[in-house]
Amino acid sequence: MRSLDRILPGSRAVVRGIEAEDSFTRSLLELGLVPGTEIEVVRRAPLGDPIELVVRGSHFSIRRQEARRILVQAL
Amino acid sequence: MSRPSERIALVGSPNSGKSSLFNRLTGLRQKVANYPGVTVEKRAGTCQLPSGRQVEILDLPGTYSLNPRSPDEALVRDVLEGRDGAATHADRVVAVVDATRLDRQLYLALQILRTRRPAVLVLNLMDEADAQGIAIDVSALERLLGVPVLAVSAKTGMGMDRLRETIDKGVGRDNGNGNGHAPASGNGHANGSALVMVGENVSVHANGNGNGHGTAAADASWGQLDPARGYQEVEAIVRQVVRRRPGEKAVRGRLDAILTHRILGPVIFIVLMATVFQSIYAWATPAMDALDAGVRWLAALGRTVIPAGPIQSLLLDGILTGVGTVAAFLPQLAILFFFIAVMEDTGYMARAAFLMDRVMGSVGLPGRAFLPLLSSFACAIPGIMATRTLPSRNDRLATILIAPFMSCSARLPVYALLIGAFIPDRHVAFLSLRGLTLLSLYLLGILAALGVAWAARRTVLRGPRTAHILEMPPYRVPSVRSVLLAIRERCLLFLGQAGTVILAVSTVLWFLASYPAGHPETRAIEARAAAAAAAGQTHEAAQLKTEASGSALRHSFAGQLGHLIEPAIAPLGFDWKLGVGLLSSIAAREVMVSTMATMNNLEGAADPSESLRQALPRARNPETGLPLYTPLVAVSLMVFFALALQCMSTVAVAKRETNSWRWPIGMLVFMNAMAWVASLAVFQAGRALGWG
Repeated sequence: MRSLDRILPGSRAVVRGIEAEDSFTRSLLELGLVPGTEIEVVRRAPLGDPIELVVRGSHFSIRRQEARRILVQAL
Repeated sequence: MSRPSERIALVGSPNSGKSSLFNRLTGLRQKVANYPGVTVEKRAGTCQLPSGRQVEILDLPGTYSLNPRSPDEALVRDVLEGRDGAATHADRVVAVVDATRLDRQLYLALQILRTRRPAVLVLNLMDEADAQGIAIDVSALERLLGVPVLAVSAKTGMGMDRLRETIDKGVGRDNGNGNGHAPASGNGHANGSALVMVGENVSVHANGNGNGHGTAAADASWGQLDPARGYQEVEAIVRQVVRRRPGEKAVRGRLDAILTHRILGPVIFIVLMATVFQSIYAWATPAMDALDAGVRWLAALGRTVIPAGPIQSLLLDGILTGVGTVAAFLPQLAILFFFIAVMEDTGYMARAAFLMDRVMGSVGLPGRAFLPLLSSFACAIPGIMATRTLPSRNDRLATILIAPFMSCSARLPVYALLIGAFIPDRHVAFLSLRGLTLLSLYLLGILAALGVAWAARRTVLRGPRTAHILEMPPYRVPSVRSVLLAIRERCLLFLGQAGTVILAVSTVLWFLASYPAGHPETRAIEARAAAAAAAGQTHEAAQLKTEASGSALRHSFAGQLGHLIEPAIAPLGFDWKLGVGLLSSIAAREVMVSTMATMNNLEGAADPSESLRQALPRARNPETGLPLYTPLVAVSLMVFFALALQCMSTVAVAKRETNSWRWPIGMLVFMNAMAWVASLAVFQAGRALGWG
């Protein structure tokens, strides 16, 4: 298990959980980042932040600071 | 036109094509207003149904969930729950999803169906789904959800007639069916009752199909829809109704590889932004000149039709000038909103925000704030209106707060005049001192903006930087129709809401500058002008007429106000004439130049700005005989212009965009106080150092 910000672009991972329960967590869950979901890190922005993910066929960008709270298992 | 009998809300995620659907349903019969008390825009229109009846369509803001994260999303929830009273209550709901991305978007649809509002589900972008090899079993989906499901493409118009019929048929039947539940079989629609109530049967169905996820307990409310369970339901549904032909997503990948490339991405972004800036800064000028010429032509025409006198002056110098001020913004607005609509609709805006997020993040703003701030260098009016692309309230307010600090093109004539008159044409190393002065003024504005953004984030707009979860939608070809509608909408909003304020203020300014009329001194000069004209001394007469208008202005309420505020501005090095100039710059900052020309009897000169450039350094204090305006006064005045918020149009637009007077008034007080203190510091420090 590691945090999502440490997954290299081009790799896939499975969501295991999100640290800390708050409204932001809730929005991540509602975007489909529920445990068991397979995601792909597509790329990082030119300055390394934010990162682009594919979640259930939709692309999202999320800041590394927030990605740090998402625990994943690399595939 | 009969009053629409019913209100139907469109609800869907951003990028579900909801707005194109709205445009298809309502055409030009749409209106935008603000919801009471919030900054959220209410977009509504009327839709003609096949039976001839009309319904009102409410295009609710795009949302990913009914658990609100923003005022926009909270509003969607309130309307669906009927919390907001009759004003925004919706009778039925059309849930819109992107057919190419059911895996994610059905989640919101499930939440909507759980509100138990009469609903119909629209699978939009069906043409794209076909092209991508995605086949959806619509009747199976209807059975599972228990609501009518329609496959449409708002872009091509496919399925739109059926959607109108479905909305039409449902009406009237609903009452008999008021508190009912969807038939357990879920095929109520097939039996002809077009819009049915849905409730807990969704999860029952999903579970009932042998997928074994979640619990069978039915939620009474969407609020309790657990995301994990919700997505299990979505997966179960998608597994049953969606068939995918292995397709290729190459276009997106290839475009993203270029547009978000480490080096190419920022280069393309900068080129694009330069184009946008150039177009509002320079390309709007011919249209603005044409509008200005049109207004002057009307004024000339008016002078031949309306007899000279107070009425003529009110209509032509007061109201028509105000109309001209308002109209002058339209070319810039239209061009900027053209670019914004195209960038939004193609999906590029999300990439730009992705590229810029880190840079803008250093001042606590999101990547999307870049474009409004850039536009503000041309004019804060389109800039502030462009903050609409920022989803978070705090981000929007922070951006609106600092937009007026960007040196707009209306400050340029003032800077040009003062720099030309007072800054020596010398070089420091290889840099022109005049150029450096201008550059410093731009930098001063930017620094002030950064400081204010930083401070605001820690005080009035406290709170963590809004979590950035931004969808990067698929690339799409924008439709001409929706781009044109977006431009039209923004221009109409500006005319209707900000335009009226600007017109009113400019009429008041006209009154202040024109009354009280007929001061003895003015009369005497006018009499001499008339005598000179009668004697055929045209040059002499013109000179006297100019002096008469200068005298009239000096003795007007505006002139008196100039004297009144002189004690407040004297410590900055400004005399009462500059005070009148500052008052007149409320109409627009560049008006300062023509007012100063009038005040100094230069109105009729061939090039008032050039004559003024020579006259200002020569002006003497009548009592002391010392120069009235020194380079130090000029610098102090330019610092004041860089920081002050005089522009009534900015205030009017900030009022419209924040939907309150609190923010614009706060900005007025704060920015002008800041400008005053900065000018005071410059002038007093300069004097202490013996610079004049």
